[in-house]
Amino acid sequence: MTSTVVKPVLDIQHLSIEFPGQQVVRDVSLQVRRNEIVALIGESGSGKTITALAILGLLPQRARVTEGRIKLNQWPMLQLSDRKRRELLGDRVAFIPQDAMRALNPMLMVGDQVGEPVVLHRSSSWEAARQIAVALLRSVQLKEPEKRIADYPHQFSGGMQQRAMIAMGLALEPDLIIADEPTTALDVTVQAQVIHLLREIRDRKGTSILFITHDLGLVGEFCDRVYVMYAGQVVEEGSVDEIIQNPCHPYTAALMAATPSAVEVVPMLVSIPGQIPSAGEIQTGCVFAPRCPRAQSLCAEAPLENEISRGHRVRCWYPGGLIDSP
Amino acid sequence: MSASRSAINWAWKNHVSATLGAVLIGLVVILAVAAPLIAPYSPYDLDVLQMLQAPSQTHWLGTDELGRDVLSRTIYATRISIQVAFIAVSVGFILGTLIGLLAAYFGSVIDAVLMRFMDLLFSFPAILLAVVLMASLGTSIFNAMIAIGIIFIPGFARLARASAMAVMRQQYIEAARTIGMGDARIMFREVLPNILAPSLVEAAVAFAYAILLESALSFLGLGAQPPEPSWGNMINTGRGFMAQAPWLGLVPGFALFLCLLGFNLLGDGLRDFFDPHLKD
Repeated sequence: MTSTVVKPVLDIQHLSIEFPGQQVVRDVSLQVRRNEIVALIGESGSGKTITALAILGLLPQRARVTEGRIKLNQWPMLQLSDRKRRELLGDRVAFIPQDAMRALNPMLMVGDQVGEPVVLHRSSSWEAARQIAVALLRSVQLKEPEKRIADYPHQFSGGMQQRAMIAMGLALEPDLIIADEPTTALDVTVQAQVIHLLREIRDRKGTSILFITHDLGLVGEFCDRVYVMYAGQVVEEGSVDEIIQNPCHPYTAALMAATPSAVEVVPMLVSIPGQIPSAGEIQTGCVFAPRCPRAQSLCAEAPLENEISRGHRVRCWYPGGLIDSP
Repeated sequence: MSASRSAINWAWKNHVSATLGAVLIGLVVILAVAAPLIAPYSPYDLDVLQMLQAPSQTHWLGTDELGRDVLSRTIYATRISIQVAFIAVSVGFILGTLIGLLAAYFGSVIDAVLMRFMDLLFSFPAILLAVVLMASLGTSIFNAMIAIGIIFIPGFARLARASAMAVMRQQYIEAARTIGMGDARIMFREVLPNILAPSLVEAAVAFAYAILLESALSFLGLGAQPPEPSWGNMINTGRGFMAQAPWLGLVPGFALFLCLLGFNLLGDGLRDFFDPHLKD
């Protein structure tokens, strides 16, 4: 596929995941290179969180990987023993959840939770872990971390909790951070701070970030490359500039149009007609065809991937944009 | 740590009833530990010339049918009661919480097997189960502790299981997996602290109940054996002398009452204390 010389930090090839009787992820290939922030964007139910859980090996019990492979650096995540996989979680790959308040244990002091990965993976003492927690919390710009480590999560504001989660994720300087909508539960101003923080971490430590979101607005200012997911499939991928200036898949284009802009005043908010197909529906052909304004008879067959330009691929029979229009 | 100290201050300031409970229990514990120093007489010394004496200057709370000092016997009986209750509740609390935690965490077959066994234990009336256990284990105060402890297991198990099932659905459990925690660590570090509060409250109440059960067993002659004083066997004896010497039963009865009151008040206070949201 890509002709990059450097091996990607995360390499997913042809991943398919199925729940009993329904396919939720089909043929997803995705790479995150070193020092790169990659967005995985899609509506709820498009399979983006399931993909993330598959990387961590934490799929719900009913789910089954039917095809594909996932490599994190040299480790084949799907083939690892439970024990080996657990050694990597929190150490080489960190997960930042959507809702920090609910992801922190209410009965444990924040400092102990932030320092926990160090104790778990480096057998450090709690005393030493607390010192590391102070440094980590300072690095995510939490004020007075020496005092704050003895606080319980409910004494933190939403933004502070998310910072604490990020600090916990950073504890062992992982190669990859998977952030699952880390800003959705936050106020807009706090959102911006958290985004800047993540970006700064990337710049400072060279950590790769897989950023799962449904907010196209955030993607533009924050990410390097984008994967657009729809109904369990990657329908378009490319660099952020390419995707924003030249969205070729009709779904991406519609998503862009549907994103309200603070600058432009639009008379009416745009929406995409129809609904995302439920995962159980048997699909032949293009998954987006039922809602697609460009759909033609050919769309009853599954579209192949088209390379629009280097690294910009789209799964559509009639890709729009600069190349040609139907 | 300063956080826990301020939490304790908070509890003392805001909870008169819990404080009262703690004071009562403190008194009981002091009585139990320092019985030989406090009691004016030996609890075993017979004095046939002083049988069934009403409370007086020499015997503040009177004497029993063998001329033994009721006050001294009541004080010494505290030792047995506290000891039995402490061990019995510990047995029930530790085993019950462990069983409930395992059942909730692993679910399916393990859950079904463990909890059906708990149901079996629970289906017997407590006192009957105690009597049966005592009959098979043999009559001794140590066996009474074990028997009462076994009675408590299913209650603690159900409580722990119910709380643990709710906790297992929380996102912080999932988050613990994402940093690579194993089952045992998740169970004891993440789940356990979140299910302890109701169990500790239950423990305070169970403590009172254990003292009551021990008294009942002693009353039936299955617990503390004469001449060893226990509130239960003292009340039992006193029952026969209710008309001539009511202090025989009333004094240990009142001691039992105060002790139970203390543990119940403390239980109420603990419930609030263990809720971190109420700390500030």
